[in-house]
Amino acid sequence: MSTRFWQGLLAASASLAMLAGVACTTAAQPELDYLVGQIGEGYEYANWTPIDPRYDGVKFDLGVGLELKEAIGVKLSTSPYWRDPEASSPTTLYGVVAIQSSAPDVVSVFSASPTSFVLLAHAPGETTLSFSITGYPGSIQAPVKVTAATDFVDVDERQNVETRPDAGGDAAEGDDDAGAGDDAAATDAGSSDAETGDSR
Amino acid sequence: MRHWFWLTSLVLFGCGDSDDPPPPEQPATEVQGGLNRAIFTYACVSVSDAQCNVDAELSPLREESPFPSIAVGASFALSAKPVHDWEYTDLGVGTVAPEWLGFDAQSGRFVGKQAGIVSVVAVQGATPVDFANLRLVQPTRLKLLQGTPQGDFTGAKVDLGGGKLEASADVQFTFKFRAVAVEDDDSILAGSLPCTWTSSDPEVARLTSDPESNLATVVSGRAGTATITVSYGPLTGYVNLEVGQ
Repeated sequence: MSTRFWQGLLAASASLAMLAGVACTTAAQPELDYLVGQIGEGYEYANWTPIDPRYDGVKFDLGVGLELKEAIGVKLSTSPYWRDPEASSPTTLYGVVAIQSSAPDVVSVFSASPTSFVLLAHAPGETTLSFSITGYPGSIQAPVKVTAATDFVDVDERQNVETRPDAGGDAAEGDDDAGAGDDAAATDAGSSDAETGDSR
Repeated sequence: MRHWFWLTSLVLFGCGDSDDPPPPEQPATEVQGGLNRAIFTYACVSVSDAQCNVDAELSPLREESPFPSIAVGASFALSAKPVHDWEYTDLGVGTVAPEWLGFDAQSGRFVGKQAGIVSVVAVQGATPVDFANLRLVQPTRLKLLQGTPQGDFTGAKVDLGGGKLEASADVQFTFKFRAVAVEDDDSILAGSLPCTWTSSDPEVARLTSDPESNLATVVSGRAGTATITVSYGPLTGYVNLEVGQ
C-alpha cells in the first residue's frame, strides 16, 4: 500500500481519538436522581401521591414523600433510576439500595431485600429517609410523616385506578410486590378504619 | 332442707389473673409475616381466653382459627419461628409501639392498650427480620356460651331453656359457662381479661371457684338472696341467687 494510504489512515485515527476524548469529557455520568416507591404489605396504612393516577396509582416518587399511620409497619419496594438527559426515559440503576432514617424514634427501617425495606412507624412526627445505591453517586431524600392513628385518613384514590402499559416508558420497574398485601394478622383486611377513633 | 337456687343469668367473664397456670393445648393460630420470613403464632396465657377451646362440652368458639382480633386490656402471648429453619434461629417478638401494645418481659405476655392496628416485629437478637399487623378492639358487650352442668348435687333438675336455669340442690350446684367479650358485629375477641368477682352476701352464696377456670361453684349458706357479680371495666355480668327452704 502506498504511503498516502497509511498517512490517511493515521489522520483518521487521530481524528477519531480526539472526538472520543471530547465525548468522554462531556457525557453525563449516571447517578441516583429518581427513586420510585411502591407499598406492599400494610398499604392501607400509608398515603402517597401517585406518579400517574390515570394509569397506575400504586407507584410514587419517593422524593415527594409519604404519610404513615402511627404504630404500624409497611413494606416499601424501590426502583432506582437515573434521568439521563439524552434519553427519552429514565435509566434503571442496578445495585443494593441503602436507607437511613433521620429520626429512628419516629420511623425505623430494616432491609427486606436489596431494593425493599420495612418502615416501622413508632410515633407521630416527621423524619427524612435517605436512599443511596451502591456503585453510583447521588441520593434521594424522602420526607415521611407519621400521623396519629386517630387523625389518619386512608386515602383510597390509589385503588380502583385503571392501569395500562405506558408506551412512553413507565419509569417504575419495582420488585415483585403486588402492592395489595394481606393484612398480616387480624381480621381487618381492607377496612382498617373500623376501630374506634379513626376518621374518614 | 331443700335449698332452691334461681339463676336468672350467670355470666362468667373470660377472666384471668397473673398467676394463671399454663393453658391447655390449643389449635395453632398462625400468620405469616409480611416478608414471608417468619410465622407469628398466637397463644393463650389462660384457659379463660376465648381463643382457647378447652371444654369439650362447649361449642367450638370458632370453626377455624384465623389470627384473632384481640380485646383491649387482654393478655396474650406471641411467638415467632422462621419460615425456613436454615435462615433464622431463636426468633423473638417485639412491639412497634409500646403505647398501643405493651409487653411484660418477665411474664412474656403482651397486653393490648388501645384499639387499632399495631405491628409486631420478629427479631433475631436485636435485628428485625419480619413484621405482622395485629388488630386490637375495644369490647362492646358480653356473649354468653352455655355448657352442661356438672357438680355434686342431689335431686337436681336443670332447665336450660330460655336462658334461665332452675335447679335445686341440697348443698352445692355447679354450672359451667363462659362469657366472652365481643365487638359490634358479635365477633368474639381473643385474650385473657382480668376481672373482679364479688358476692353481695357470702353467707347466702359463696363463690368458691377459681375465676380463671371459668367454672363457678356456688355454695349455699343461710336462706336469702345474693348477687354474684363479675366485672371488667364498664362490662358486667351477674347472677341472682335465691336460697330458700
